[in-house]
Amino acid sequence: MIVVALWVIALCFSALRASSAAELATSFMILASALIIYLEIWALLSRGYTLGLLLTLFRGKAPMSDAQLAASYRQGEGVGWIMRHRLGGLLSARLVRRQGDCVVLTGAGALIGILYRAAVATLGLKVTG
Amino acid sequence: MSGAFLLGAAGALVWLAAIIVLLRVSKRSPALIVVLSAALVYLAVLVVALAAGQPLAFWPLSAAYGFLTLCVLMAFGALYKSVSLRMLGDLSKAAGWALPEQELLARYIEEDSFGRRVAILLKPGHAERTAEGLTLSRKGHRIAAAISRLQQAFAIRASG
Repeated sequence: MIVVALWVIALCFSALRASSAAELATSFMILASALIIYLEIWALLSRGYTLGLLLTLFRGKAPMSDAQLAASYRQGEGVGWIMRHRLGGLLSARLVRRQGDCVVLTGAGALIGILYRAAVATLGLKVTG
Repeated sequence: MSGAFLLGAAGALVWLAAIIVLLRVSKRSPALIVVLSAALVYLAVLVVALAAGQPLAFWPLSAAYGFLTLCVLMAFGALYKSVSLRMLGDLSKAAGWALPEQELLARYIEEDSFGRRVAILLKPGHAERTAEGLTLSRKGHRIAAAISRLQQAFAIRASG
């Protein structure tokens, strides 16, 4: 947000103002691309499941069985944490709801799920998630 | 300059078509396919632009191609690796769009996703399976140390 605000403020100065709509579009796309790269790196570092397992082994110092690795994941919270975290995100976004012991899709969740399956089929991805 | 935007957009479309074909026919890592092909198509677009004999509007062309491919790459990353999206996709296939919560946990985390992530660490030699259990290789140790430092730089306390 700060970077975008600085970009907008910079455009207000006559010395920095874009000379044409095309120049403005070019500068916007360069800025947006840089922000996407930053967000992707941040997302990988903060939400990467595989990286989390690698770091669990790194911080564990000693060899671990699969069960120990699963239990030690995310400083002892275990791999079940991911499920709770992701499910919590889907619940707060109202894409799923709890019904007894079950998790049920809402209309919006079902639409996204169907679009997701269509996109995976279009790309021909065999393994996801 | 709008010609440069159009050429960049056309390049991004060619790349999209190329990955749809390549992901079906190649057995290499999907992530590697999309990233490498994006770079190759970009080089091809630059060569085409230079061969056309017109002055090359490098920045508008690169900005348009880069922005569009990064948008697709971001969506591809979510489709390929997101646990949340996979849960939504699988729930949409289930009868009544519902599954028991414990079944979700067992299916996606403990059996499927977890095993696949361990295999990802083992295959390129980042980790090794010894008699005592899983351990990091020298390469894996170096990568983990670098990621740990990066996390500190980004003020990220834990990943997952």
